[in-house]
Amino acid sequence: MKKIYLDNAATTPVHPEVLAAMAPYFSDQFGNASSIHSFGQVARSAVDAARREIAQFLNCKSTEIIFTSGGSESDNLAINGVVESLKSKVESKPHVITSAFEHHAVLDTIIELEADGVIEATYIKPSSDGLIGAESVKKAIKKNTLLVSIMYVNNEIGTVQPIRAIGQMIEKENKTRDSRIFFHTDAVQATEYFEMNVDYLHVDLLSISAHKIYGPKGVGLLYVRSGTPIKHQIVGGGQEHKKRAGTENVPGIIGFAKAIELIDRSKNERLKKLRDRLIDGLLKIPNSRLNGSQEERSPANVNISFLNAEGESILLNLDMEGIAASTGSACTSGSLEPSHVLSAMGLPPEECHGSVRFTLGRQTAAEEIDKVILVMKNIVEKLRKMSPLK
Amino acid sequence: MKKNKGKIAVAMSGGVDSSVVAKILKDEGHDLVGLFLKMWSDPKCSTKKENRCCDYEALEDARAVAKSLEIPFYVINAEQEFKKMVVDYFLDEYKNLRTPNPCIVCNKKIKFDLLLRKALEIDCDKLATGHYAKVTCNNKGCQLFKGEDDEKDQSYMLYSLNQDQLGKILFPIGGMKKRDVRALAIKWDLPVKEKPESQEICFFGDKDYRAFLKRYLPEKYFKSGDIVDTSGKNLGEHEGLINYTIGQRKGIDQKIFSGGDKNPLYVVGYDPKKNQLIVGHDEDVYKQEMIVGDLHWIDPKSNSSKLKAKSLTVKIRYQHPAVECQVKNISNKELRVKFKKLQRAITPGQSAVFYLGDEVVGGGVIKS
Repeated sequence: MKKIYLDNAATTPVHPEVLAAMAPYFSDQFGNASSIHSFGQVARSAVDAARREIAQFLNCKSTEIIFTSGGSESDNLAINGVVESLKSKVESKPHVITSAFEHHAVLDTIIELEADGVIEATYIKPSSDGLIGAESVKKAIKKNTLLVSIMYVNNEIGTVQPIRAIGQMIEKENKTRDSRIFFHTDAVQATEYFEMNVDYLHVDLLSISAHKIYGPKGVGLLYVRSGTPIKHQIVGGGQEHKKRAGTENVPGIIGFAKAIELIDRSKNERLKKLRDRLIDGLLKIPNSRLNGSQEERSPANVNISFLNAEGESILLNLDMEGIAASTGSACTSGSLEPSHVLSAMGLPPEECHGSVRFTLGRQTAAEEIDKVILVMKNIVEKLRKMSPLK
Repeated sequence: MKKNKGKIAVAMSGGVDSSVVAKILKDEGHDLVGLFLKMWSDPKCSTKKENRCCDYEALEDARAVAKSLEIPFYVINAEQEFKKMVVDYFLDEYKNLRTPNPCIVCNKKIKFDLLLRKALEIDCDKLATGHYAKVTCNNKGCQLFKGEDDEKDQSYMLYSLNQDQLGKILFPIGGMKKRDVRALAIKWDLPVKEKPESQEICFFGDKDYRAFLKRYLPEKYFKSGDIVDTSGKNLGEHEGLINYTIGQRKGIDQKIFSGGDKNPLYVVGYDPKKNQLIVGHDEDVYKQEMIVGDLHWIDPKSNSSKLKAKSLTVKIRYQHPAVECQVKNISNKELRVKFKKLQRAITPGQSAVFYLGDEVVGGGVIKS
């Protein structure tokens, strides 16, 4: 059976060119980038070159990039790092604004800081089509607001947040305030498809992960604008300008830079057409609905609820047909708790249970989309016949 | 969509029994799917390692067995349902000074309902588990019997299943002895062959249900009060009624004021209104009869004639031999059960399960 992979938001296959670029740095050029000898120097210059290339992509300085182990670490570092570095310098308890449908790497970090009494937090509810307006962020700002963290593209429903508008709004606010507000965005799901120029976006911190863009797992970065205070979270070495200890993941960083180089936004249109084909096909199944705005949406994401058919059961049936999809983020799937993303958008729990996420990728073909539509129709029909909810 | 005739789902817990079940069915040539039920387990419990049947280790083991047998394997997450239907029931029963059987409720509402439904939804006809019990079905319906291994027999835990459920269940090792099952696991070199038995309640790891209750119930359930004898005489102070079950001796003597009764004392009852623990001597713990409610019959069409049989026996707790009894309807909701011989520690909340020889007739929950 030919398998169909429609879970590219969970992870993507490493591009052969990425793998080829990484290959020499495992056994041949294996040096530790911090060593002073020639072995180290080879590794160091490769890491430096990669950092420069990525800095160009983000339109930032090399020194503003901290390589990490991935998106979750970047998100943790951004939030904990800024809060820890500033909490002793502010008079009242710092206030952090985020959205209620962030990735758990952001959400749980903020919830923990709040529970520990370190910060106060505001969780902005997205609109019913899964969007956070700059206006609603502005309304949440208080005198003691220190940090705003709003994701670029939602990982479950693929909606695109107006990061630039929020960034500009915060910049304007900052001009009239005594203490600055810093702006972080988790751009993990946006990197492949949307503008990453940090000046254009007006962001101070931005998280990216390599394995979502056909790069290797275990490497990511946090962009930190010069002048943004950030306390290291991993200590024990001077790497990454003393902001993140640990031997550099040399092959990972090289692969990361290559993956970024291979991003081709001219392909967005192709994917968007496939996406809309899938959406149209699936919405022909009765009692189905698209979650999240279709206009302000990643070209890769389709998230649809099917009333009276459990998402988990749909996934198992799809897998038996060789089709890989997901009910939400891979980190929480298998959990029957209604999705926090869909709940935040005001969906009733029974509709959250029946939601399925398909995320398309570079390798996705039109025949695959048509096959999925056909298979889905049968699965949903079958499950509805068996449903105790009927 | 293709119809997979005869596909079987195997509930795989990562233990020896369900692993042997999977291997037996695989060798018989069935098309199999392994399902692992992820239950709720106590996040506040510090000794996670002890938690044998629900933790990550169990999941890894089940996955390893499925991989070695080359069968597809899925995790079914039942955390929320398990918490609501089994754990909350467990807590509620203790709140009301009854002693629950969480495994019975789990079988009825989780394993043979939620999991069975999942199995059917992925085109399986049957769900196989590693229970020690036997089911036979013919055109008149299904019957449930004790497992071959007297010591391991789990039919008691299954009495609340209905005909629909029994018709879709396979117990491939119900006719085997535990030692033979383990011998097979060793012979087949299954990854879990050396795994010890798990008999404790699966959702807390420290084997101490009192500590679990303490973590999840408010203080008011642990108020100390008087220990009194059957005539109401104050003998000492207890540590909260919830800590004592009928027939219990442990922890009583130390709480009795000095100069009191020198004979061993046992819990014989409670007076929740006065927050009193009633104790008595060994003979006070024995009863001639009990009332059973929440009745369920394996075959509702034939239960009344079976209940009239002279050879009717009843099990009043899991690890207890079935004893001879006679039953009388009080209403269609409750039965009065008279024992041939006095029975020790009739415990409200526990199930009473009726047998005719090895056949399970049905049962209910002990009310008093």
